[in-house]
Amino acid sequence: MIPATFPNWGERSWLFDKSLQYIMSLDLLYELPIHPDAVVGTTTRLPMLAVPPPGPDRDLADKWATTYRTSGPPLFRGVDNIEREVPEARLVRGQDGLTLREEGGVELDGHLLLEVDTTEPIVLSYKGVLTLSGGTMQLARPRVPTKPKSQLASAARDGTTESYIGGTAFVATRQEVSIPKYRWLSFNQFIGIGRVKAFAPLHDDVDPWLISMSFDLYLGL
Amino acid sequence: MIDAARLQRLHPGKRSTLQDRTLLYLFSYDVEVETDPQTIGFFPGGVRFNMVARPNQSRAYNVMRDRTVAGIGVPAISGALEWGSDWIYWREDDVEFSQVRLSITTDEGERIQGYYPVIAYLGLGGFRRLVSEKDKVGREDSPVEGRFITTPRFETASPTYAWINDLQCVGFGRLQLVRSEFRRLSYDVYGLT
Repeated sequence: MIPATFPNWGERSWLFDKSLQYIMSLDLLYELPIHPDAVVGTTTRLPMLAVPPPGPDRDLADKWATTYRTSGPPLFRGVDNIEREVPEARLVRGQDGLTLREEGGVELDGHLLLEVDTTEPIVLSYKGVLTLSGGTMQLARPRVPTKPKSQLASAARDGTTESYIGGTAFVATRQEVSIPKYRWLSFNQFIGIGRVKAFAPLHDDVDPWLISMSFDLYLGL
Repeated sequence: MIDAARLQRLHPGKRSTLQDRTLLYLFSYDVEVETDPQTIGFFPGGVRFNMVARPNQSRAYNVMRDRTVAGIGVPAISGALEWGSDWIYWREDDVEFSQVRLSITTDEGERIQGYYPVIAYLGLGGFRRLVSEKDKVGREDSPVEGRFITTPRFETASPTYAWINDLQCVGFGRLQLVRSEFRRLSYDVYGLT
């Protein structure tokens, strides 16, 4: 006979404890070429390629990394009170197969190869959803849409301003690592909360879209 | 070809602050698991077996009994978990990978499909302990309880519940093990916004 104490069987009237613990951030930039033949049925599939961050010289590594902690040393302390190293990794290569649907957001399915200070790489894959202000089908159009001002924000960095469409992305990640100090990453699935900037092509016919994604990865507890 | 200066300019640089985040409570569900798992057996690197939910004893509901999802005002999900399965692979390095698929039929008769992977650490020596014939984990009168996190996605063709199609969700769950077998699972599902 199974005791009825778990979890108050029938229907609960209370929520379980929950928390998200910050692990690291993940920054990505993708090139998304326009594929006029990409429509398959009611969905549109668009492959995009990740662009490695500038570097790898030491000066640039301080400014750009693919994975990093926003503050403090690259360490994570879990509920077991054990400190684990967080990789400051750099993208070697990566791709994402976007699936656009007329009626909603984009499905993300990314696979990344990351390098750290050892010979073995880290494989990080993720799946999730991306939503752009004004709709995601804009990414599938061969010509850059005329965007209402309300959908555009301005990005100013290093004195240069470019228009972009803002959005959000939420993913679940999975890691495969053989490096002992990062092995703990393989035991966990992280939840990524991200912001997206879709930079429109400067020249409609030759340029790809540039999709910048910046995530914070959390461990659920 | 995009010039390197533009790529460098647009590449996100290291941030020093975290992004805003919100967890939006959607619904909960309880699963009673069939006591006779379908054992596939030992493979190089681990063992595989499948579990299925007891259809008439598994439900999806809102713990507050709300009729709408607080915050976005869409209809809350309440119904029966009509079908669910978990394809489990326990690896020798003490990591569990499983693939869950389930189908909810709401009280109005609409169908919602869910799917998610589970990655869980079984603890040091957990694989051997769980597959051992000698030391089964958990008894009927004192089951072993554990916590786990899932990252479900849901799909439906119902216009009433179409809002769930674009959400990446997080499930915070509890499970109960009896004789190293899953008996009960209970989740709270939140949408990431």
